[in-house]
Amino acid sequence: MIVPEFIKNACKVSSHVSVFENTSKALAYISEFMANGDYKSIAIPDLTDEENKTFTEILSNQSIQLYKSSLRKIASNIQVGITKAQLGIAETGTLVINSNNEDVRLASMLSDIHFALLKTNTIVAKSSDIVNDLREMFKNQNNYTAFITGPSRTADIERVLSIGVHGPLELYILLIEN
Amino acid sequence: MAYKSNKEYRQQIKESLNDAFLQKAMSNFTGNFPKSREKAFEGKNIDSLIEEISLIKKASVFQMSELYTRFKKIAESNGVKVYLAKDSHEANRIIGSIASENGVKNIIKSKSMTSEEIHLNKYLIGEGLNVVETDLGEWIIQLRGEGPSHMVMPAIHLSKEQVADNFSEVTKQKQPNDIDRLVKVARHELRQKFIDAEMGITGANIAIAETGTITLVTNEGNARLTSTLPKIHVALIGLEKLVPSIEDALKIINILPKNATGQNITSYVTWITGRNENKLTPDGRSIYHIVFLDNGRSSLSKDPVFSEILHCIRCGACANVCPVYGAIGGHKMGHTYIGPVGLVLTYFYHGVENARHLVDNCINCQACAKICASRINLPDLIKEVQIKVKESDNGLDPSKMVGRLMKNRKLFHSFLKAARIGQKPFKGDGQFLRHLPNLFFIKDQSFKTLPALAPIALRDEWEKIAPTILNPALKVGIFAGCLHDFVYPEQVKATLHLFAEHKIAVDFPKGQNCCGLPLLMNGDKKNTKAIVRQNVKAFARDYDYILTLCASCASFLKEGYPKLVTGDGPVKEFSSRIIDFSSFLNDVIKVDPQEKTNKKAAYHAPCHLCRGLNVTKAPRELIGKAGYEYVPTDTEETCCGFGGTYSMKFPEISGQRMNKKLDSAKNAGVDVYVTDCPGCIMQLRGGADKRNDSFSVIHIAELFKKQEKDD
Ligand code: SF4
Ligand code: SF4
Repeated sequence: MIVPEFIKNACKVSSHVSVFENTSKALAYISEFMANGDYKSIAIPDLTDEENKTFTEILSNQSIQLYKSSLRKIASNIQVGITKAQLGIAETGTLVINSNNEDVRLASMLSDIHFALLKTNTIVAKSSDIVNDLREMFKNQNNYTAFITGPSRTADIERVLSIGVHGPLELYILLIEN
Repeated sequence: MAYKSNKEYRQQIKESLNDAFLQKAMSNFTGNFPKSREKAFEGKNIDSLIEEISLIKKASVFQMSELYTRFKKIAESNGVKVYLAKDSHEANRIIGSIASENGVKNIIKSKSMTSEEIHLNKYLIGEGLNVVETDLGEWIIQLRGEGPSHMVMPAIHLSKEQVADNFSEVTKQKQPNDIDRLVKVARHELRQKFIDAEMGITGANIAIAETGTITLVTNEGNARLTSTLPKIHVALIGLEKLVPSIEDALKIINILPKNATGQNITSYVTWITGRNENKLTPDGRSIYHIVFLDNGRSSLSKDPVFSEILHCIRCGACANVCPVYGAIGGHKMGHTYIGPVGLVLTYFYHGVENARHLVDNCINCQACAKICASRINLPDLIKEVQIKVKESDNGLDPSKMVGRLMKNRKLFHSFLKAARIGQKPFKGDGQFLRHLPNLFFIKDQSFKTLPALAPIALRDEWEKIAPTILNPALKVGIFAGCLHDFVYPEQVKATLHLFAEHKIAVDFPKGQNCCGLPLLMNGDKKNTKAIVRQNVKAFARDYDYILTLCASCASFLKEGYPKLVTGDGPVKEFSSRIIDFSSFLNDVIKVDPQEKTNKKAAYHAPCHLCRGLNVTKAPRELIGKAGYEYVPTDTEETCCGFGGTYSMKFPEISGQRMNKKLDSAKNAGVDVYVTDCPGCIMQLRGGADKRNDSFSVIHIAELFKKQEKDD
């Protein structure tokens, strides 16, 4: 019940949600997306070496630049970013992203399109269910945690909703089943 | 800004009332907000969520200085520099020196009302720094040199055309009047500013003492960029934002966006603890300073009455439902903080000069209290500020004279009777009301006709008209209130046959006076208390109920008296017996349905009944029982703009609110517009008469008037 609830609420706030068996399939989906949209650059700050390798193989027939770190240097030029979410909150369709790493923050803030990978078994019903997780995170000397719910939005001009003011124009949530 | 006089303030108000775009924007916004809010809270118990917030904030404000110490200790152990600025001046100076010590030239900011409070931008710009707001609305008003007109939507008063003009100027090319395009222009223009800035200034919605974490709630994502891209991050935070725990923070986040804009949660909620990675600095971590602002908060937190204002979580909802805000917008309803909460905060944060005249601009409709995310009793606090402002005035206050007169009931009543003799006939030219405490303030009421005093006051006729009941089942004392005693006695008389039919003894104790609300509205606590005593004494008899047909009297007698005179047995006992007319007729007498008419009725819910006493079902049921078809209207529970002396002080706003109500009754195509408060009747009937509306405005009691045989 929790996963469908998450999907429903995430879609309500204009996130795109798809479900995959594993990370490789999700990465293949992104690759296809890149090809269709003719995107040339992608930031991948927190993919593991292994995932990185898989992704490079999948992308081998496209000429796409992968950026793993020092995203500041290409700040105005990040088209697509992939980051991982540690938790999901079904009640609001929210991603919880631990972004102590500057590059993770930049990938999820400066990209036009943000892909977030989330394991279905980390989704909880409501925000009060993650108090202890948050407490663990905030106990560190430094921590930067983001709740992300849909793309960046504003209604500051005539109260008309407009998507993509400072952060990503689109948010894709890729749920990984195992 | 400081208004020199009510006249000057009203002049400014007229500008807003004549601003066609503002009027359209306000009416769309205030019309849509209640529905979206309701949707966001669907399936949730709003009252218990609000109760929780109110408790959290109360506890937090109570231990504000301990929370600060705890926060500081843990944040500093995480390498953050924490300051406590005692006032605006000090906060500005601290932030200015952080900038100069680090060789900063360019600063970006994300939205912070606290920085508006201390006029930080002005200070920093004066120091030769470039400061750019990055919240879209804030950037727009910065380009225009204006202040925010709403706490959550700072540019709500502007049209896309106005924004396009400003953006064309900045980008030096013509920008289209297309909102999506304009948003992208801002994205593009501001992106480079983020990259160039050496320092980012944010506010914080919450500061968590347990972990030294700050929480930022935004939709645009600019606070994330502001706290990430520049090497220095400064957070400016009001002390009242401190809470003990993460649980508290989550609860606030759960309610804030729902109450603010009807959003379940904002796109971003950012939690920052300690110095995070920043590759621009020598040690690879951000330079992070937190400046807590006192500016009067510590002493406010110890004030038995006003500490409540620190419970505010800045959701802005009080403005969204305020009829005054809806009429004139934020720029004319607050200095920096706007709307109902702004009326109070202006006095404390920006001084009596800025609050004078401004703080009078409240109709006391209770809408803000009802919607507040933290259950702050804003109307009472506004009232208390009015009293403080009056106390600081040295000049002669005419309302004091009224207070002294009214306290002397006999003198007051003979004054009214004398006035009656001099008054001109009702429907003629130049009619005017010689009425009650407003006696000296009647002016600019051309938007409505005013009733005359009745030829015979209810009290003078009572012996003749009182029904005689043998072996009564219940005993009731009527509290008439000034309007039913001296202006509309026929509304009470219309019900007398019902008492006889239900074997209810009814009495009119002559020692009763005005309920005192108009005096309190004028800030005259002392004389109001004297009147409370008179009324409690007058009704110290064996009545089962004290019945009043006036919603304002009912709410003041029932809720207001025990608050004004606390811990007083007889007052409590008096208040517990008060009942409003609709509840009495519908729930106590359980009146039988009358024969069907083919007439339609719209209902105006008096503020003091629907919000003051939470009576909502009884009057609507009574309309049906009276044989009328009840036609719901969308403005049913919004204020009619009367507010006693309010309509004399702010006639333009009063008239505008009244017209909105009358328009909705007119559009509903009803025969009668029914309400249960003589004050609302005076306003709405006078307006309908002036406008020649085809429906009549009547008291709900008059629906049950015994029909004459040949009627
Ligand atoms: S009581 Fe009514 S008029 Fe007064 S501030 Fe609150 S909402 Fe506005
Ligand atoms: S006073 Fe209440 S309703 Fe108004 S902004 Fe503060 S919390 Fe919100």
